[in-house]
Amino acid sequence: MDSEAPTDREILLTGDAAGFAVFYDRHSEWVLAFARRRSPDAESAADVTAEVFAAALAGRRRYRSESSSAHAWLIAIASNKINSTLRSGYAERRARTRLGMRPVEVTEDDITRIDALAEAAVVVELLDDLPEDQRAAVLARVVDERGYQEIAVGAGVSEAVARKRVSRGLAGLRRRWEERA
Amino acid sequence: MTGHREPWYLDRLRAELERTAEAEDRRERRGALGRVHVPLKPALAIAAVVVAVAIALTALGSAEDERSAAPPAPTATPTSASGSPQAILERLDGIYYAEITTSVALGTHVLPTGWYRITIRATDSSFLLSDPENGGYEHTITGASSQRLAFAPDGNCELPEQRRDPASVEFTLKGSLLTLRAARGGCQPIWQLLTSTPWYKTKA
Repeated sequence: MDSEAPTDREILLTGDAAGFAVFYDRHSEWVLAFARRRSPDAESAADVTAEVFAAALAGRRRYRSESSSAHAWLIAIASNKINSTLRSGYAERRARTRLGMRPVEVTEDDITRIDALAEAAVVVELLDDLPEDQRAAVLARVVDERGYQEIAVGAGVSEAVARKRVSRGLAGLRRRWEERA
Repeated sequence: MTGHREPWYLDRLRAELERTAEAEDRRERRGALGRVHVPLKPALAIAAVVVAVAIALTALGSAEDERSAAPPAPTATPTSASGSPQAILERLDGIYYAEITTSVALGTHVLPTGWYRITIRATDSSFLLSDPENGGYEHTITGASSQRLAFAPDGNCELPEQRRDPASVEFTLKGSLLTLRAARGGCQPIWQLLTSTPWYKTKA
């Protein structure tokens, strides 16, 4: 977020529709991924996400956290909705009903994307668990497709060390992936 | 927004939220315009204010505790003698918890179920209700007697027609158990929730 952009707190307390769209763009993907990782299926996760943002829209002027980011606020709402869904077996629709929101259908393509979004978020979390030098080496090799020599020069180490970092990082990722499965 | 060019679930949800948010904006503007109409009938407006103040004063129960509905009154009390508004607030000062299991509708919003918290601070006469989703419902205490508290209007009430009403509520504090009942005025769904359950004071 650039320094000129309004904070979540400013957007929520201002409370206008255009601002809420900015807020949604900022948070919708991770909320959906968060919901998917804690819900039995993609459709439940989509339902929870819609309810979370409906609740956030309805309650935006009551946002009282001192934090400029609404991350913790959204997690609290999402956790509450997910727990309620798990208890009752179906997602709450109360905020959406009260607001008069129309249902947004979930297609087969959406389900695939929601699952992929959650998996990608898991990989990001797993990457975050790696030591900094291994994470940088894995990202440089796998995401940026840079050669070992270039990675070595960039990191100020020998090529052998760069190779070792990549292989250890990938092994660490694989181990963590298997542990969570 | 999502990096995908074709609309998918998050794009469609965004469109629906935008439509809903714009409808909410229009509703808010209509509410604001409705409130602007009041000064057009000054006699009625003055009468409403007089009635509201009279209700608030009556609610306080005794003449010595009578205070204006405008904040901040209790903090101006010069002494903390037992029975003074300030002493009453100091006795109430603290954090209280209750689990709300039944949803209460608040305008277009539904108050979430779960653990709620009341934070009463004598130093600034504040009374903050916090919901399980970090929502805050701020109130200013404008008067306190041995059995009743009076509050300034809740300007953030989701029901525009209730934003101008001062509130009052009876209370008892026995040990760590705070009971609120017989609320009048204010943002009524909030008071419905506050009076629906006893509140337990934490030791801290």
